[in-house]
Amino acid sequence: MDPKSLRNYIYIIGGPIVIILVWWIFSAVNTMFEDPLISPLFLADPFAVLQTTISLFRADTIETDIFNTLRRVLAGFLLGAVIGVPLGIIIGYFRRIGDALEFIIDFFRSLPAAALFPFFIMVFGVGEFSKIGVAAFSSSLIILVNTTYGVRGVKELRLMAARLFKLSNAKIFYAIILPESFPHIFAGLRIAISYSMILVIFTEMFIGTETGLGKRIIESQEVYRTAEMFAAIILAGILGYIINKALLFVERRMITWEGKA
Amino acid sequence: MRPAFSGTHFLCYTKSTSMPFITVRDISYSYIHMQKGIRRQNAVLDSVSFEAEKGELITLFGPNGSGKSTLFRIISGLEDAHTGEVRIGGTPPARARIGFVFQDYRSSMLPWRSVVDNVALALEARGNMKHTAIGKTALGYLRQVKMEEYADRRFWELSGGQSQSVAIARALAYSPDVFLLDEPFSALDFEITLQMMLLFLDVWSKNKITTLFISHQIEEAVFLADRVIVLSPRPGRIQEIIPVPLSRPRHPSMLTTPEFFTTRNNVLAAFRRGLQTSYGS
Repeated sequence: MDPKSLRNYIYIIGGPIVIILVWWIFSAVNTMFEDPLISPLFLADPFAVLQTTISLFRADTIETDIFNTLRRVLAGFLLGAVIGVPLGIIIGYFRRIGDALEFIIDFFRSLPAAALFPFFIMVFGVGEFSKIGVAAFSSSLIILVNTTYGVRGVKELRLMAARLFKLSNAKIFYAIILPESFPHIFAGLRIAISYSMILVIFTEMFIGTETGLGKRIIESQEVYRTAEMFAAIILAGILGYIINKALLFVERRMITWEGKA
Repeated sequence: MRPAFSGTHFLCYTKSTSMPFITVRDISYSYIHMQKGIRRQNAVLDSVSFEAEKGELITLFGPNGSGKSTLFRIISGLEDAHTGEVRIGGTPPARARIGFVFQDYRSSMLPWRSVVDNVALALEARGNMKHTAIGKTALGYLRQVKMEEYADRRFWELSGGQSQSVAIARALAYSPDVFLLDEPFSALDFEITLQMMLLFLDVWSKNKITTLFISHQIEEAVFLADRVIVLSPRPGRIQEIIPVPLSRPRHPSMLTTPEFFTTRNNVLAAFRRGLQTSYGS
C-alpha cells in the first residue's frame, strides 16, 4: 500500500474513532459526578451499546427487525420507482401533460408525507401497506420529478442528430432520451431510498407494528433500555448507509459517462 | 473589377451541361417573436439561391448572424423556409439522407455509447443492415478516418479533433446524399484544423459526396472549396459566389500560392462589400 492511500485510510477510520472516543469519555466522566449532566439512565456508553448489539444478535431477535425494516424500505422504494419513473417519463416527454399536472405534483411534493400516515392507516388499516404506502408515496414523487427533469434535459443537438438520421420516435426514446435521463433518474432513486428509510422507521413507531427497527427504538425507549435503543438507532444508520452505497454502486456501473459529457 | 460570379450571376454552373444536385431556390426565413405584445419579424435569410453539382464541395462564409446555420436547418429539412424551396437530387430534403457534422461534438455524440457504437447508430438508422454486420461495417468507417484503434473508447477519452473524426465517420456511415458541416473545426487549434481539413478532403474525394461546409475561417473556406459562397450580414443574402482555382488534391503547400492569396482576397473583398452595403451609410 502506498503511503498516500494509507494516510487516506487513517483519516477515514480516524474520524469515527475520535467520535466514539469522545462519546466514551463523555459517558465515563458523566457517571463520575454525583449529580451528572445527563442521567446515566439516558446515556449508554459505546461498550454497553456494543455488548447489547451482540446479545441482540445472539438472541436472534434483531435480525427479524432488520429484515422487516429492509423489506418495507425496499417495497416502498420499488413501488415508488415503478410509479415514478414511467409517470416522470410521460410528464417529461409530453409537455402539455406536464403543464396540466405541474401544480398537483408541486403541491404533493411540498406536503410532508408523514402527515398522510394517519389517513393511510384509516384507509389501509394498521397493517403493512399503510407503512409501505407512505414510503412509496414519498419516493414516487421524488423519482417522478427527477425523471421529468432528466427527460426534459435531453440535449437539443442530440435530438437534432437523431431526427436527421430519421430515427423513429421509439428509437429516439430508448437510444437517446432514456439513457440521457438515467443520471437524473438515479439521483432521484438515491434521494427516494433515503426518504423511504426515514418514513418506514417513523411509521414503525406507531401502533400496529410487530417488528422493525423503528418499533425496537420506540419500545426500548419506553422502558429505558437506553443501550438497546442506541443499538437499534446505530443499526438503522448502518442499514441506511449500506442501502445507499449499494445503489451508488449500481449507479456507477450503469452510468459511466456522468459529468464527462 | 467585377469578380467572375457576382451576386446577380449566381446561377452559373461549373459544367453547364450537368444537372445540379442541390438546388436552393429563393429561400427566405424570418424569426417571429413578440415584443411588448407586438408581433415582430426578424428577417434572417433573404432570397438565397444557389446550386451545387453532384460531388461538389461548397463552403459558406459570412459574418455572424448571416443565417448560415438557419440555412442548414432548412436544407436539412429540420425547418421549413417561409418562401422558396430546396431540392436534393430532385426530392425535398425530408426524403434525402443528410450527413450532418455539428460544431459541438460533445453534445451531438452519445457519451453512453463507445466510439464504434456511435458510428453504428448511423447504420442502425439506415435500417437495411443485419445486426451482426453493423459492428464490422462501423469499424470500416472508423478506418476511413484513421480512428479504428479508438473503437472501444469513450468520448471523454478523445481529443476534439479525434471526436470530430468520429463525427465525420458517423455522418459517412449514414451513406448520405449530402454532407452538411456546420463549423466542424472551429473549436480546434490551427494545427489540428489543418489535419482535419486534409482528413475531411480525403474522405470527401473518396466518397464523392456533395458537401456544404460552413466556415468562419477564411483560409479554411478557400482551401477546402470548389466554390465559396459569401453571405451578407443579416438578413443573409448571397453576396458573391467565388470559384477556387486550386487543383485537387489539395495540399498544405497551396496555402502559400499566389492563387490561394488572390482567391482569399476576393472572398475577403466580397465579405467587406457585404458589410458596407448593410452598415455602410
